Amino acid sequence: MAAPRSRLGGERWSNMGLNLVIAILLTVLFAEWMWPLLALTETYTVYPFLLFFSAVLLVALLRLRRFLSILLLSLLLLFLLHQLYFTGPFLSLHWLAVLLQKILTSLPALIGWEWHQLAVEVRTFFFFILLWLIAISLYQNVFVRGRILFFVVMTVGYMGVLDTFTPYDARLAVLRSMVTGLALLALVQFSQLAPKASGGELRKSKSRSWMWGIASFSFILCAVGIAYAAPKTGPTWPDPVPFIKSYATGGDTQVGKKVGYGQSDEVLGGPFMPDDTVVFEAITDRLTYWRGEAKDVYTGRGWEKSRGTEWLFPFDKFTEARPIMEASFIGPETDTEPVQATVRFVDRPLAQIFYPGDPMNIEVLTRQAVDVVGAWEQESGRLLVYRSENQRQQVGLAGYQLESMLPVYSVSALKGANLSQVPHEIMEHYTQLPDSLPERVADLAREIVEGKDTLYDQVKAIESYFRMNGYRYETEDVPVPEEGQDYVDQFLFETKRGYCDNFSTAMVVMLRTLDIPARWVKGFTGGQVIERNQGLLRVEVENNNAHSWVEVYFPEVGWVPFEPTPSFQNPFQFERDDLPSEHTSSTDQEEDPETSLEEQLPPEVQEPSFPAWDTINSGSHRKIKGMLIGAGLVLALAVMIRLLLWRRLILLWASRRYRGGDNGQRLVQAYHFLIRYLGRFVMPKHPAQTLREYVHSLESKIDVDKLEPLTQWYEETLYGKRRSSSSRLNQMYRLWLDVIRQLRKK
Amino acid sequence: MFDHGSQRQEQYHPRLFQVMNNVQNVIIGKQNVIELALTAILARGHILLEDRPGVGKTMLVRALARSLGCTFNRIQFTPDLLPSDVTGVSIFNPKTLHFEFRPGPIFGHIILADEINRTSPKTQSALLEAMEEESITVDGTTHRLPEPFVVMATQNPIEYEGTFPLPEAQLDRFMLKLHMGYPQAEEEVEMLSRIQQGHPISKIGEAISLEELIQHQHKVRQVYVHRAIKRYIVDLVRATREHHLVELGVSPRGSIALLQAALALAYIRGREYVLPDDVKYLAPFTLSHRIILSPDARLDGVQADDVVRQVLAETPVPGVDVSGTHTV
Repeated sequence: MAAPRSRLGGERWSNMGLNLVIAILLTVLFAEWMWPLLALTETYTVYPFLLFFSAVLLVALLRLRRFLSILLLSLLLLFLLHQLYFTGPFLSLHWLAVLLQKILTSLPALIGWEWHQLAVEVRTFFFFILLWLIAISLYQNVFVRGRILFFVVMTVGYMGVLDTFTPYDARLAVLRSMVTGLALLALVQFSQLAPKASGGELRKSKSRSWMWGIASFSFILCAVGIAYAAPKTGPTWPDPVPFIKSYATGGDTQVGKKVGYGQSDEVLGGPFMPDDTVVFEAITDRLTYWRGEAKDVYTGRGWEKSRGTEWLFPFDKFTEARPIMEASFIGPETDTEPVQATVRFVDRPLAQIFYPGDPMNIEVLTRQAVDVVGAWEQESGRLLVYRSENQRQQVGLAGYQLESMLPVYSVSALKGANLSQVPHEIMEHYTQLPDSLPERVADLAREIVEGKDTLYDQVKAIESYFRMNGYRYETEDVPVPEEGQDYVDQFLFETKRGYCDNFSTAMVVMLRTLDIPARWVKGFTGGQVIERNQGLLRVEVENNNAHSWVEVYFPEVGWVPFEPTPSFQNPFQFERDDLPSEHTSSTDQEEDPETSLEEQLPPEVQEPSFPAWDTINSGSHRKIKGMLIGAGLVLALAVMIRLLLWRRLILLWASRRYRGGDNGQRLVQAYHFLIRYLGRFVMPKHPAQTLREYVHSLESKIDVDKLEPLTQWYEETLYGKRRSSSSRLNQMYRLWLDVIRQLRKK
Repeated sequence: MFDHGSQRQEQYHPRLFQVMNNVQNVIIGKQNVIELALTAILARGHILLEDRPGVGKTMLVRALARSLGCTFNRIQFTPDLLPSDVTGVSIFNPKTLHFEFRPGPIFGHIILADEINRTSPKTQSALLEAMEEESITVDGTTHRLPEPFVVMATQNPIEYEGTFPLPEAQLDRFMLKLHMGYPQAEEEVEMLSRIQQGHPISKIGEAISLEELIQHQHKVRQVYVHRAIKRYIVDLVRATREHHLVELGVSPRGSIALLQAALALAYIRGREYVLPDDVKYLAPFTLSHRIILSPDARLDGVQADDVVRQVLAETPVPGVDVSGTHTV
C-alpha cells in the first residue's frame, strides 16, 4: 500500500516542479511587459513588481487556504510599498496611516479620472492590485485551463508594436519572449497531457517526458537558430514613425545635433537627437533641477554672457566666502529647506559643479591629488573648478558632495513684489534686448499680461501662455531661424513648436519687453530615479536631461525660477500663503483662483512631486500621459474582470443572493438562475429543448452528476403536484451549492 | 438493463420493470420497443408494427402476453379471410335449436393481426371497429371483448402487390406505430446462443397477473398532467396541422392518444406526473402515422417522421423559459 502512495506523492511533487518551472517562465515572459512600463510608478525598477507577480503565482500553486493566501500577499504588497516609498520601521504602522490617508484623499481624483493627480504611492498601490488580478487570471488560464498561446502571441505582438512605434528597441525582447513562449507552450501542453496518462502509461511517462523535453528543446533551438541565421530582408516600408513624420513635413528632416549641456548658446534652434549618455549619478534627498549657469544677453539668435566676475575660493572656505559671493538667488523674504547631494561623474570628469538651490557647502573629489579652487561667477552663478588661483586651468572632477538651501517661495511675498524696488543695476542689465527684435513680440507680451496687476501675475501669465495657444513640444522638427530672422519671433509666430530653449528664451524675451528683469538658465532636470531607499534617491542624469528655464528677479525674494516648457513641471516649492482658508502646506497652484476663473483656464497642474520622467526626449504631456495610463489601467481591469472574473463574480453574487434556498420558492429561483447562467456561459438552451435534454447536452462540457438530480427535483416541482419535504429541499439546496462551486472552479 | 440515454435518471415502476425484463429474455435488445408496447397496453391503445418479416414481431407479442398473464391469439390475414373469421359466427345448434355464438380469434387479450394489409377492406374494418368499440355485434347480439384488449397489427412495408393498404383515416385507430428493426450484431449472436438451448419463450412465465395489469391500467389514469403539458401536446398537434408539407394534420384523437400514452409512459417510468420529455419521446410514434403529407412533399421523399421531428424541434417546451418568470 505504501509503494503506490509514495509514487503518487512523487508524481504530485514532480508536477509541482513542472508547475514551478512554468511559473518562472511566466514571470520571465511577463517581465517583458514590465520593462517598457518602468516610468509608470516612478520607481524605475521592475523587480518589486515581478517579485509580487511571482509570489501570487506561487501562492496560487501551493493552494493555500484562501484567507491565508490573501493575508500573505497583502503583507507582501504592503512590505514592498513600504520599501519603495516610506522610511521608518515597517512595523510602526505610522506609514500605513499615511498611505491610507493618501488613498482616501486620492479618491476624488480617482473618481474624477484625474489619474495624473494621484500620489505615486497610491498609483503604485493600485498597480499592485492590478498585478494581482493579472497574475490570478494568468494562473487560471495557464494552470487550470492549460491556455497559454494567447499570452505568448499577445506578448510578441506587443513587442512588435513597441519596436515599430516607439524608440524602444525590442529586437532582443522579441527573441527572448519567443524562446520563453515556445518553452511555455511545450511545458503547458505537457502538463496537460500528463494527468491524462493513466495506469500503464504512468510508468512510461517518465521516459516520455524526457522525449518530450528533448523534442521541444530541439524544436525551439531549430526555430530560433533558423530565424537567427536566415537572411532578413529590410522592411519594405521604412520605420513608420519617421516615415510618417517626414511625409507630413515634406521629407525635409534635418539631422540634428545631440542633446546635452554645452557651453555655447550663441546660435539656438534646429532639431536634436536624444543622447542617453549618463553625465552624472547622484544620491540626493530631493529631486530638483541641477543649475548650471545663467546667461543675460539675448542676441536675436541665442544667448551670450556680457561679463563674468569670478570669485576664487578654496572649497574648504566656501561657507566663509559665500557672503562675498552674494549668490542672491534667494532674497531675505524667502524660506529655505536644506538639501544634500553626492554626485559622481560617469561619462567623463567635468570641471563644473551643478547644484540644486543655493549651495552652502561643497566638498570636491578630484581624480588626482591636486589642490583645486572654486571659481564662482557672480552674475551667472556658474561654479567651476580650477587647478590653482594662478593657473586658471579647469580640473575634471570625479565627483563632489554639497549641501544646499532649496528655496520655498511665498506666493504672497511674490505677489507683493513691486518692479519699482528692483535695483537699478539689475533693472538695466536684465532687460537688455536686441534692436532687431520685431515689435510684435512686445505686442504679444502686452496682450498676454493685460489686466494683470502684480508682477507675479504677469510672469505667471506669460509662463502659462505656452501651455495652450497651439504651442507644442517638439525636438526633431525644429527649424533653425533663417538669416536675419529672430529666434523668438520665429518660434512665437511661425513654427510654434520647439523644446526648452525655445520656450525659455521666448519667455525671457517677452518679460524683458515688459521691462521685467529676467534671465535664461541652463542645467539639468532631476534625472531618472533608479533606486529609492530610506528616503534617499539615486538618480541618473543623462544628456537627455539637459534643460533650460527662466529666472525672474523679484525684489526681496530673489531670482525665482519659472518653467515655461510644456510637459515640464516647476520643481520648486511655492507656498500658497495668499489664500486665507487654504491649507497652507499645499505648494502648488500659484495662480489666483479668481483670475484663472476669469480666463477660463484649466487648472494648471503644479505638483511638488518629482518630475522624474520629464526628460527632454519624453515629449508627451504629463497630464495626457497620466490620463492614458489611468484609462489603460481601467480598461485592462475591465477586460480582465469581464473575461476572467465576471463569471465567478456572478456566481459569487448568486450564492449570496439565493442563500438559504431551502425555501421552495427561493430554490426554484436559484435553479432558474443556474439554467440562465449555463445558457449564457456554457451552452445556450434551445426553447424546444426540455430541461433533461439540455442537461444531457451539457455533459460534454461540465460534470452534470449533481445537476441531474437537481433538475429532476425541479421538474417534480414544476410539473408534479406534490410538495417537496424540507429535508429534500435542503438536500437540493446543497446540490445547488455544489453545482455553483463546481462552476466557480471551472 | 434499462439504463440508457435520457431514461437513465428514471426509477422504473418495479413491477413493470420486471415485465420488461421478462420480455427481454426473449427479445434481445429492443428495450425501447418493449417499453413502448407496454405503454400502449397500459394506455389501452393498439399498436401498429410496421416491419419486415422475421424480426420478432410475433415473439414480442407472445412474450408480452405471457409476461402479463394474458391470452394471446393470432390472426393471419389473407385475402380470402372473411369478417366472420375474425369475429366469430353464430352456429345453429340442432340440440338446443338455438344459434350459438362461436367466438372468433378476436376474443383474446392480446391479438396479433398479422399482415393486416393483405386482407380485404371489409375484414379490415371489422377488426378496426372491434378495436374502437371494444365489443362486436354478431347477428344483433353484442359481445363484449375481454379486458384488456390490445391489437397488435403488423404491416409488411415492402410488398404492395395484392395488398389493401390501410387508409390513413383508419390508421388513426392505432395509438402507436412502431418499428422493430433488425437486432444489432452482438444481440443477434446472443439470440442465436439462446435459441440453441431451446426457444426462450417456452421458459418465461408470468411476471404479473392479469388482475394486476388491470389495476395498473386504472392507476395510469391517476397520473398528474400539468395544464402546460396538455397545452404542449395541443401545440404540437396544431403545428402538424399548420405545417406547409402536410395535407391533413393530426386529429384530436391523435392528441388524446398522445396524452394517454404519455400518462402510461410516466407511470412505467415511476413518476406521478408527466414530463414534456414523455410527450417529446412519444410524439413520433403517436403522430407520424396520423399525418397525410401533401403530394409535393411525398414526391420530394419527405417522411411524416421528418415533419414530426421538425415540429418537435421548433415547438417551445413549456415551463423552462427561465429568462423571466416561468410560464407554467
